[in-house]
Amino acid sequence: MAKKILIAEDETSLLEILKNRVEQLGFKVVTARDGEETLQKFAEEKPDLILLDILMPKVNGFEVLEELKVKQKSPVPIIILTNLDQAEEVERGKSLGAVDYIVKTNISLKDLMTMVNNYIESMD
Amino acid sequence: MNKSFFGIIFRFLILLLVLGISLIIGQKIVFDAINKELLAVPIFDTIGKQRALSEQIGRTGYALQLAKSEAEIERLTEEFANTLNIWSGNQKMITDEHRVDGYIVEFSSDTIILLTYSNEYFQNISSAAQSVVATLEKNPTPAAVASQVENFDLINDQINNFVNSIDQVLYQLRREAISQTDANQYGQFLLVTTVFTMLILWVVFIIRPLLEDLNDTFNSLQAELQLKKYVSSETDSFKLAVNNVGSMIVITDIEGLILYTNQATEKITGYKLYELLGKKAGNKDNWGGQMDISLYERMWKTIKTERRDFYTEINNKRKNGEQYVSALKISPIITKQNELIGFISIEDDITLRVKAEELLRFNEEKFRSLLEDSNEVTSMVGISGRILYESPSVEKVLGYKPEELVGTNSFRLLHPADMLSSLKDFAKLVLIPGFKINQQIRFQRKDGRWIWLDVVGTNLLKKPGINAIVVNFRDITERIENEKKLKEQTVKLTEEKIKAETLLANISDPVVAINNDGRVIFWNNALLQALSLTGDTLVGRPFVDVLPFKDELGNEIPADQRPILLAKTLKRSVTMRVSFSSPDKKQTRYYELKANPILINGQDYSVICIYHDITGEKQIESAKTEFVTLASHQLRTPLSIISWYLEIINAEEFNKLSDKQRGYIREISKSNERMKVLVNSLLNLSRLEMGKFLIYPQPTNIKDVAHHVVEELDRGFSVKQHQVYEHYAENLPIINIDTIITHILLENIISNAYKYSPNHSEINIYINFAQKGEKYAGEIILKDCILIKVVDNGYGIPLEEQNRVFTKFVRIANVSSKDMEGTGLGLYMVQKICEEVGSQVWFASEEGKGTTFYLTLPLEGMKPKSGKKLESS
Repeated sequence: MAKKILIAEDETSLLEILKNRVEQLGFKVVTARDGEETLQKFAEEKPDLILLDILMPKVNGFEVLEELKVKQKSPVPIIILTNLDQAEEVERGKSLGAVDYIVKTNISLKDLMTMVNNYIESMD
Repeated sequence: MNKSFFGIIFRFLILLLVLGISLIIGQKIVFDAINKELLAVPIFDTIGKQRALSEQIGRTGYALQLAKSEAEIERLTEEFANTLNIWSGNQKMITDEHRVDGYIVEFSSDTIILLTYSNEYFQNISSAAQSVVATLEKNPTPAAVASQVENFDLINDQINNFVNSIDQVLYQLRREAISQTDANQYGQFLLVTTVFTMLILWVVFIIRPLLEDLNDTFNSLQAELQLKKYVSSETDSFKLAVNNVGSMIVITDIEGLILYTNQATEKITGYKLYELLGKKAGNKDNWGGQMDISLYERMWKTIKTERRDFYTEINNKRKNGEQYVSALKISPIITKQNELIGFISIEDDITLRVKAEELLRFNEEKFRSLLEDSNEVTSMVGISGRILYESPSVEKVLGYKPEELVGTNSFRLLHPADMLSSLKDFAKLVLIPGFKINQQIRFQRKDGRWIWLDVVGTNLLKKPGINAIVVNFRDITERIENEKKLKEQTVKLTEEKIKAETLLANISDPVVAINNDGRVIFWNNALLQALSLTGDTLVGRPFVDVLPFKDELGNEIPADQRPILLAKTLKRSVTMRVSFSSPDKKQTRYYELKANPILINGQDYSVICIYHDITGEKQIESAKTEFVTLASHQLRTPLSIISWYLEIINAEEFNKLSDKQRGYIREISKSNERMKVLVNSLLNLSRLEMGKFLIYPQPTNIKDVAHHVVEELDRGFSVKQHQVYEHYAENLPIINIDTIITHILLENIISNAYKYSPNHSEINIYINFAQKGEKYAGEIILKDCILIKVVDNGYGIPLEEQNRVFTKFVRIANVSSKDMEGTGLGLYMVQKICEEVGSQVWFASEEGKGTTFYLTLPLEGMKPKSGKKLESS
């Protein structure tokens, strides 16, 4: 069965690219445009991996992380994908349970896709 | 004298007794010792002992013969030489022909003991032997031999037994002889020692003092006899009187030879009569007298030639060396016939009197000098104020001699301003006997100077002998001046104090002053407002209680970091950001506290604290931080989008594009990258300006960082085709520096070399040690460090632009067209970073020739600091 990836990103253009590329890898994509929707979709769709932005309306990425990892203790790997790059934020993300913390401007699309692929593959 | 005579007799008898005893004991010991020697072989001399030994030896079957003289020894030796064998010491000699007649034993050097078989024993032995031989001749069978062996053995045993017992006997004899010899020697030694000891003791303790005493006694006797001879013609009472009078009386003949001295002489001088008799009195070298030659001659002239009394006081010395002063009067003795027959001197020890006189003189002088030098003047005036007497010290105080003032009116010198009150008081004084007044009034000195006098006047008009007003006065000018000055100062201080307090009270910033003990001594209204307190809860309380400020983040400030304590300890101003939250935690205000220590009376410190409210500034700061964070995030988002779309185009659509379009895509990519760099720079800049960037030192190999930068720049500036040479020293240590910051520094400096050199240029990078104090291109190294030198042969920096190099947004004139990519922030950032991390950066450049940049990294490393991470572009 094809793996499902949940992409949480409020910036439409970025969401488009990411959806496009991940689907090209052969995975199914579910999208969410804010934190609230992210939690909803997570409950409904039960994705295998989440790409999570931080600065989102309604509920931000950290809050989502807290909910899913700390409260619900979900084992689903969550990769933070943001432009916030300060040490405190990385620290916070990691301590809340994110498996990785990526700064968008610092990574090429290609590398990002490779990383997603690797995470999915390592799950099996 | 009698006493001493009997004493001598007594001691003499004791001496004889001791001598006698020692002789007797000594003799006994000696004779005993001698006897012992003579009885060297007592056992052989006395008949009884000889017999006893003979018996003892006889029991063994031998007889005893003695040879004591040389002749005897020779005889015996000869007689038995052939048939006897000598047995000496412990050795036994084999018998001759199994026939033993006897033994000669050498006992001592002059005694030989001859032991021979007794005839009886000899018979027994020989018959026994013969029977054995006979048996063997008769029956020469083994059995027979065997049976006879027993007999043979028996005989042998008997011989052996005898020999053994002789051994024992002789051994004992020897022992006795030796011990007696020892006793002899010991006795001799003891005797000699005893005798000698006795002799010495005798000489030291008895003979010598005895001799001395005898001498003394003899002399005394002689002296007494002489004295008796002299005074025999005088009456007893006169004798007695002269002898017992307290003064020394010495009578001499006309040559000065002493004929008589009385008892007092011995008492005072310590010399006995017999020591002085016959000696020349007045001899300048004589018995203690220390008369100098001129005095001596004058004395003789006076008493002999002029036949007059001579009086003098001289320093004298007793027999025991003690100094004393004697008053001496020598008078000639002239008979009725006007014949000079001798001299009599009467002398007294006046040491004590002399000393007393000296003391009195000393005290008098002291007293006088006190009086004269005193600042206190005693004077007497009449009822009109007429001066009747002034003590000498008036000259010191007023400059006038007493005689200049006596007869004048004392009010003449008084200051007009004081005149009225003074006269009033004086009038009162005059009317009441015994009354006393005290004034402080001004008088004019002879030299015109006005002085303050403290005057005490006492009415002694009725006192007999005085009948005047006694006035005592003292110069108190200095004291008055000092008091005035003090008052002025106090007034001034009070005024200033009020001024200061008013000022401080109204400053809008909270101010508090803490004294040396840490207690609050001053505060202002602003402080009360800030802490929502009332004034009376503050004063005297320890500052830790009443200043509940926390640090910037709201945490307790550790006791040893409290600015007030630090200021006191370090003796300089300490600045710290503190915060204070209102009790309901709703409001927090931030202050920049400046604690200034002030030295009071040389050693104690008070600390004055001023709290500058920076709440507003902080709000702006945090707003700025938020804005920057947000802005940079917002700016980055579209940049990410552009980046990724460009990536897609490059990856998938590139082939579908025309050459021109590909070119455009390339340009877009480049601009996008530039934007990213710019956003990073802006972020860094804001962090820098706020001084809040993270320094995270880690052990770093500077060579790795430098090389990495060079590689990156080679890639980035590959089109320029520069030749970069890296000259890194071998033994550079790993130092604790923030790798990202170092990267930024190096990148900015080295990239300038790339940028501002024409294509195909040579760039040299040197990394070495540099020591504190060394000088490079006009800059002195402040700390031991690693020095990085980047040398290019590029365009250089014009002289007039060189001081703008490190400023913001600078574009140097000659290169602005060549550098399209710089933000103009690079070197500004570098300098700001260097300030924070303890590095130095400078350059040397010449237009058209090239530029050399220097950067130091301290060996001690960078100090860690919390803050925001800087972006490496």
